Amino acid sequence: MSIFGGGTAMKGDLKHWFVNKNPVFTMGMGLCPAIAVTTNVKNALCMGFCTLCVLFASTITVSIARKWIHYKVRIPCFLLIISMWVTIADIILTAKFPHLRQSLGIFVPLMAVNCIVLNRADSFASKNNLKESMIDAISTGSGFLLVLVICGFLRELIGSNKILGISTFGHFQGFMAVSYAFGGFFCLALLFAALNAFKTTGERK
Amino acid sequence: MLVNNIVFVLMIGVCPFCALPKKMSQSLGMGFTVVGVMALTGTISYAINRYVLMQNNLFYLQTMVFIMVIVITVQLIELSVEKFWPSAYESISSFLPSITTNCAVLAVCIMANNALSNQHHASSFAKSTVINVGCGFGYLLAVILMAGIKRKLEMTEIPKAFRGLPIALLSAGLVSLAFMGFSGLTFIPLFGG
Repeated sequence: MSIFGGGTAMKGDLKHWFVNKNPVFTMGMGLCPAIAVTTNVKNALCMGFCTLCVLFASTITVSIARKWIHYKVRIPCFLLIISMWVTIADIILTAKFPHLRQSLGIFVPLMAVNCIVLNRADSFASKNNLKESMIDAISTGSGFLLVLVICGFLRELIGSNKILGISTFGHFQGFMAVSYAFGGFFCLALLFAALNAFKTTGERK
Repeated sequence: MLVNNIVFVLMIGVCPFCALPKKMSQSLGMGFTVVGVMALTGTISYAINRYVLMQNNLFYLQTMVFIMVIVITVQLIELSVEKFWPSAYESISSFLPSITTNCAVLAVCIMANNALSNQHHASSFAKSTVINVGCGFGYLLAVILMAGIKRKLEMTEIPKAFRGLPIALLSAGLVSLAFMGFSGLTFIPLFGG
């Protein structure tokens, strides 16, 4: 995993992380927030960034503490660590960005049971050293962030014809359905399918 | 349960949902287990929230405490089912880990406990119980629907890019569109909450 190698090696690795090993698409994880939060770009960005921070902090903590956690109680311990960081993030978010916290609503505490965070802690951070866990966290988290932002962008554009609150195409009011549950499922499904098609054409070449 | 269905309208609990079992009996088992877990954890966390956390102004510990409650409850349920109903245990043992980290269970705990901070105590226990059980049944409904859809999907030709997760998400999306049609319904004005 030569991420700190030359320029081309890093590029190849970035593509690897965003496309091949993207947590939402390849591992099918973290779908809950991806569908629910991406009604607009601001929410998506905030949620993705918060998840990235929580992921980063908890993988560091787990990686440091991995020698002291007994194998059999590891899941509750990891959940405790993750929920501690989520609570901290929640408090910071409520203090600094109360409107954003209000619009994210119930999904901020739900970061604690986000499959991505627990999966990374369990399968990677508990077995690898600090540096590799940090790299893994950043790449997984940014893959997730990218997915959320793309989804949020599409949904906001089609759903309410605004980007970050600014209207784009004149009088077009937007399809409201896309802002609701249907849009979330649909958008994610289309992105998925596009990525699958992209992957298979790449393989054939 | 219909108006604010936890999967199709509130979009919570989707993670294990798309990779769910296809057989009707398995999904029934999972659905009922989730109902039981939601009801139990909702009640316990409500009690803890009201008598311990609220009294001592420890509101911010909510997330951590609820997760611990869920983990412990699921473990207890697993142990007791293993002891008393071994046959049932075999069928649901594979779901229990995913139920532990299911967004839906935690969401129900939090939603049920938000009812606490707004109302008179006597009525809010009833309200939160209704939320617990109702969301559980909503999840059960969602699981059954998806299992049925998946069985039908197995017999059709799906374009290669759409196989697996995308088509499940698409069909869930169409079902959620249908559920939007329920949005005018009010049986009892408790679900709006």
